[in-house]
Amino acid sequence: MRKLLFKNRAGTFYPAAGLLALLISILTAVCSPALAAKNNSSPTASNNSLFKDIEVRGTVTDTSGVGLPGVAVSVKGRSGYGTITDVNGGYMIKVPEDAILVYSMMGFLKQEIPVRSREFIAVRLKQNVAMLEDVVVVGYGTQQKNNVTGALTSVTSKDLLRTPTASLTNSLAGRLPGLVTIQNSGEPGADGSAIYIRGFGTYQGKSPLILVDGIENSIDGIDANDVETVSILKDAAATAVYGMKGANGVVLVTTKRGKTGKPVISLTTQTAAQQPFNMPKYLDSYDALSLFREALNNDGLNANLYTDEYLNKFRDRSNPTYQYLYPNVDWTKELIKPYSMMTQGNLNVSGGSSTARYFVSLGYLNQGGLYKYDDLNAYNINAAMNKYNFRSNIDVDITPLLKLELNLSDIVRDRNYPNETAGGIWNQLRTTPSYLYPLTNPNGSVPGQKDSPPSPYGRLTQYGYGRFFENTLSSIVGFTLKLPFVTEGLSFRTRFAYDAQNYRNIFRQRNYSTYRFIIDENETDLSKGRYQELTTGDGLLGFRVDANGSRKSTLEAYLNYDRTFAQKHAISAVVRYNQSESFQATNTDDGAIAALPYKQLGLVGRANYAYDRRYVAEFDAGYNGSENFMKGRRMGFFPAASLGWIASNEHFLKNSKIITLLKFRGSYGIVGVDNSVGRFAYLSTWQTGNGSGYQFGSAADGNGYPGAQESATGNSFLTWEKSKKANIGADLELFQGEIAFTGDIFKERRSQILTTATIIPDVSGVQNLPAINAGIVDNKGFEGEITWRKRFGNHNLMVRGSYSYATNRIQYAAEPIYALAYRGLKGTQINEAYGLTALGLFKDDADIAASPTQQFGTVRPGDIKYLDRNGDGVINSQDEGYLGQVTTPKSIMGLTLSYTYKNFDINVLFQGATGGKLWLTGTSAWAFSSNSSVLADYLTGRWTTDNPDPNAKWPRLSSSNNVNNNQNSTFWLRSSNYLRLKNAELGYTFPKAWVKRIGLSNIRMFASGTNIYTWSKMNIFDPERTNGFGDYPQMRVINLGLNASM
Amino acid sequence: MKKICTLLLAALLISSTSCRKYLDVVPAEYSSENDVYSNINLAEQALARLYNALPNELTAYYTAATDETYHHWFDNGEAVNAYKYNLGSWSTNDNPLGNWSGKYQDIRRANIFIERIDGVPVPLDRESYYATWKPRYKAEARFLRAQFYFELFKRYGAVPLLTSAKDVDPGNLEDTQVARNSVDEVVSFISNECDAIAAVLPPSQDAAQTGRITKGAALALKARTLLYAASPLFNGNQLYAGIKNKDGKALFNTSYDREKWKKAADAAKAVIDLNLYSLYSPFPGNPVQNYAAQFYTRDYNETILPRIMGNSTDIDGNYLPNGSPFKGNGKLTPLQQLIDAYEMKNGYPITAAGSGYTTDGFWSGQLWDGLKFQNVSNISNMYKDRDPRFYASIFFQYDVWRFDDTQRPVRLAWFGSGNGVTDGWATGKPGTNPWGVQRKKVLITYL
Repeated sequence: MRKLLFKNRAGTFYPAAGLLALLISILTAVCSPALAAKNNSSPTASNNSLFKDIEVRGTVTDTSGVGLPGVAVSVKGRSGYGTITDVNGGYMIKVPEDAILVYSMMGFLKQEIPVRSREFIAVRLKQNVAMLEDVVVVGYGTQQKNNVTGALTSVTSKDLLRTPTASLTNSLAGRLPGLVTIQNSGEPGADGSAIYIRGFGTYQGKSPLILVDGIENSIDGIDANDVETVSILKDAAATAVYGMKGANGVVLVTTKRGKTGKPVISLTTQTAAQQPFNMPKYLDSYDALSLFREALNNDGLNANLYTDEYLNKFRDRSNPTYQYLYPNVDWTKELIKPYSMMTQGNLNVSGGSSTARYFVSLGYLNQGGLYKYDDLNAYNINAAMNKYNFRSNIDVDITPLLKLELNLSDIVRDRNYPNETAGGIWNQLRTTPSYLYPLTNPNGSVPGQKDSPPSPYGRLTQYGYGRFFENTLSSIVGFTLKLPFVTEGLSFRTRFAYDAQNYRNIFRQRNYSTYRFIIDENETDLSKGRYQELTTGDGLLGFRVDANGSRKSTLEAYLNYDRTFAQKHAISAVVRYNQSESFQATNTDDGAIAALPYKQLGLVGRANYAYDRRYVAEFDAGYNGSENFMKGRRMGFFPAASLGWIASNEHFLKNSKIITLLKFRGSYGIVGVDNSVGRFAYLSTWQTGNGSGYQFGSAADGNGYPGAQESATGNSFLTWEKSKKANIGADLELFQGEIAFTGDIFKERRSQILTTATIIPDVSGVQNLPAINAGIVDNKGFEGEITWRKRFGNHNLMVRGSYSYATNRIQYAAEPIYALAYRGLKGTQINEAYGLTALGLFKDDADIAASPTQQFGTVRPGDIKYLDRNGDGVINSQDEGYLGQVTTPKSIMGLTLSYTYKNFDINVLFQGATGGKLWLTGTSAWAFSSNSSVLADYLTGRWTTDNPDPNAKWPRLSSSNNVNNNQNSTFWLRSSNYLRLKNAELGYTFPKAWVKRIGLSNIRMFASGTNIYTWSKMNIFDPERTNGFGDYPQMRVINLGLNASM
Repeated sequence: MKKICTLLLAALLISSTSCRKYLDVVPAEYSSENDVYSNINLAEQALARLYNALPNELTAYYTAATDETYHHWFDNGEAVNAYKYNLGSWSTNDNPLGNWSGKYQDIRRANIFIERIDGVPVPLDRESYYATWKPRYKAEARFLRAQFYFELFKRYGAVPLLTSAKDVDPGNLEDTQVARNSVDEVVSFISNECDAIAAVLPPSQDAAQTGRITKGAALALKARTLLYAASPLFNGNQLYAGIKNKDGKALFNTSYDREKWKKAADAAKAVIDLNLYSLYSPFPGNPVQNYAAQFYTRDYNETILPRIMGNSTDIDGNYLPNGSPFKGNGKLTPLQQLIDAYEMKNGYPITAAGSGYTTDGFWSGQLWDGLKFQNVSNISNMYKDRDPRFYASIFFQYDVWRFDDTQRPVRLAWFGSGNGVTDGWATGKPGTNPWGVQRKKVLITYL
């Protein structure tokens, strides 16, 4: 099998390979004098006549045994003499029998082999891994790690694959210091995390710029198997080249590319069970109604209906009518499966000859949904996603100087959902009381009641479904031309990228009838019941299609210069020109403006100079703009300067046995972010023909005119946000990398933040206040990562901990000066909670009488007592203000433990976040507030007349919406701190010898779990959810997988 | 190789030669102020927009802010203010009648119109028509601006007077800060504007133009403004003595001026002396019908300036209970305070001795249903012998709801066997509960 493959390959590629070999010969012929000249000085040169010349033949292969064409074979000490290997890696050279042959090729470690009179010498060249590892991805290029002066960090494919999630963003959690990930939903196809870099510097758009292979794109659809690295760029030095797009940080995703060598086929298949976790729990009918009785008593209302006898019927199932007349339905349990399946497969092939390299990958993912009764109808209503990823990254050396790159990727998503939104379903599951409806009527129809919320069963299973198709094509074609004939080290690169996304969403809404089942409760024959139709639906599937598409094209051109002079002066520089144009998906209602293209234009550059690998200076600049600003104000210039000192390369540390690397970095610069709200906001616009007109005339259908009015007042000064960023960092490695530390401290001042200038008085008469560039926010923080690696015989141990912290303060917000300072944004933080300050619960009537009057309805003992913040003796909305607590975490922690022993490997990731708060508010939290259900937590933690604890976790129960208690206040602001065993993986690699026997090179089996355990005081819902109860829960994933490669 | 290089560079240059213009995505699709004011038809739309801002309190929920009605939809976002009224949790942050920003938006629109209408070109064949109407349009806009200031004046007294539409200069936000004018200045501004435009405006409008500003409207606005200015709130009120601008300018005149009453009376007399208006009394024999008809006629003899609206069932929706036979939205229900405020037929308040008001017992007799008299029975004595306006405005238990096919007495509060028997939705969530009395006035009953 293997042989056959090899033969086929050789046969198929022969003509092309021959041509390439020819080209290589030319290249070698051109290059070898230069090569030889360098070796000329070698004193070992010998052409000893004692030894006669012999013909040496042989092959040069890579470590996997594939022949390497184009390897230069020369004789040590003898310039201008040599040959190169043919397409199969074979060579023949006539040399003295004592000569030393030198085998060299780019990307491989040079080998020297004494001939010792042998006539056949087979050589295996090793890849120059060190050289590969030393290069890191930076904005619009790569850089020697030694010469990097900015703050950036990256994670490789290997770590990303440990978290088997359907969205790449979820795999980043806890892996990158400085990155905040917040996952708010687990719905298949919509479960990506929101990501932020270094906290928040603005109250407008806070998301970082995301690029895939250098082109702005989204990352959630990408198959983690296709990813080489994900890097985040944090400071001005790293992001200045992104100019007015970079201030929120940049995420770079680099996909895998082929490497010269025998084709490696890798197959990964995994199956996972996804289990929803941290879902809120609600009381059953008996408990809930017992509490309702208490609530009625608390309110001083008549609770005579709720006798023990009546309540007991909700648990008593002795009579068949009881389950319909006295229902007790745990909606979550009845409608949600305990787990759903997710299967993933990826097949990729990579490899290449010295002239063409390829990485081709096919990925498949099926993520199932949690809904029960998905097979009730002829169609499926479950949430599900099928995703197919295709990627082909090809590099071809057309000539030794000209290289072609081609990236083609297609992401096909095919999703299915119930017609009811996830938000709707999950909200109904929580808020529909267990005693409201039976699951179904005895005849299977959907139960209904007059003037009540719908039955979750009906909405989920009978309301129809939606089927969404989506296709995202990304393509990049690029050429790189080396320009040694202009000057050594100069190259030109140009790329054209085109992205096309199309979708077609079909909505099949079905209107169904609901019935109220009426029967005498003592009847034992259910068929004697009557069905009263409450709502009428035709039961037919409707049809609506929503199809649209978007397009983006980018053209970029680079001039790169990379050269080292006299082995001490390393210069690398890049200049990049780009223009891009994108059309967003839009429909008639968005108007003609939305269909106009979004454009970007830029000229950016970087110059890096390193002296003796000790001192590095870098200058970065972006000059770019967009169509969205007024002519003459479109382009912005964003410079950054940075310095690095590699102290460990100084004489006094060079030979240190302890310090392997010690490097200090510092940067300062200006970056922008174009957050303009709406399009062409610099223009004042008018709306004509609107509905706010007038009718004259005494006739009923008089003389009508539509209205015309100013719809938006433009701000011709509108521009981008500006961020001044400073960063100081240090990298330290001890004991040959056994301990490694990287730390950064940063400070940022964001100014010109796009702000609605509430300082402009209403008397200006402007309908929509123009956005102005006025806000100022200071953001500062630090992050650090420390790694310890140790090898004890067969035991490999690695521990890595990271911590990041960021805090910010709004310094100016173009708002009026508030008489009550706590009502203004100034001095607050981004995402700061707003509301009343709670002082616990009222003890008794005397307490109420002695406290300021609360103007939110009747107040009774057990209700929330508020702080009179303005001291006027009355509690009203004037006492609401910013509360000093933020609803997003300030600190993010990650801890990775990795251990390998022989063929076993274990990797554990803990992830945590602190410093944030959550709102525990809304109908899902407030018992009976809209005839809603009751959280199980109320059973023990509430204020009661028997136990009037002023510090109880829940206030007294009310039978309806308790307006006094149900205000946003610190009472409902709960800590969202958590620590999570995010991921654990156990892998076993089969013994090589055994694997070889079946013709493979590697087999690894692994079992992993994600979101395994969470420690948090927040026990109602998952503490990561910043949007409260939210919709579809996140998943605990238990995964089994196999990776085989050959 | 050099060829390839040249080729690539050439390709790049070609593609980017237009780079200076690359970012010019001209949004010609937007309409601008110039577009509107270079087309008389669009300018007329801008004027219609000003008329649209005339007070319209019919569909608003102001009554819920008073003791007239209760707003049931307190858990509905739209009615947040209403629920604050219900709870009594108003503060200085909530002004249900506040229109500060809205009126200044209207004033800005008016200012732009007044500044630009003269320059709007008209078609040649319509020149003579617009020779009459353009000056009127401008005068109408000035009236409307004065009316907007009057709305502000009656709420806030001293307000900044802005007579031109300034653009906001984001580079100089301080410039947007303006000081308040004093009450006297605001009053004289409105009064002077009315005087100035009264000369331009016609005494009456054609039937097709009814609703446009007339001379009488201008003079009436002046009269009302001067009356308010003469009232104790603004005339010698010491309460606001401390309200001053930063520069020390007092905004409320604290000295009483008797002449203000004289001015108000003279201004009102000027309207009366136009001899254009008379009282509307189509059914003098049936006081109930006569009163009800006031709200269904488009005969505007009694009206100085009507606020015209198209046909709409908004009010019916707001006031009628949910469910059969009313089919309303059940938002607002009259409160007992409103019912009690209606006097007796004999003119006495119900609380007065000798009014004859009693809550005990029932009566039978005839009630006007809008078209004819209906025999009714079992009506509470609370609803006996009340002011005729009461019967035109309110319906109650066992009153006849003419829109029910059976023309039977309505059961708003049925003490029988419960669900489904009472008219409207008697059970369920708050907001759908028909109370014992409902509004009748202006509703479809009398159309």
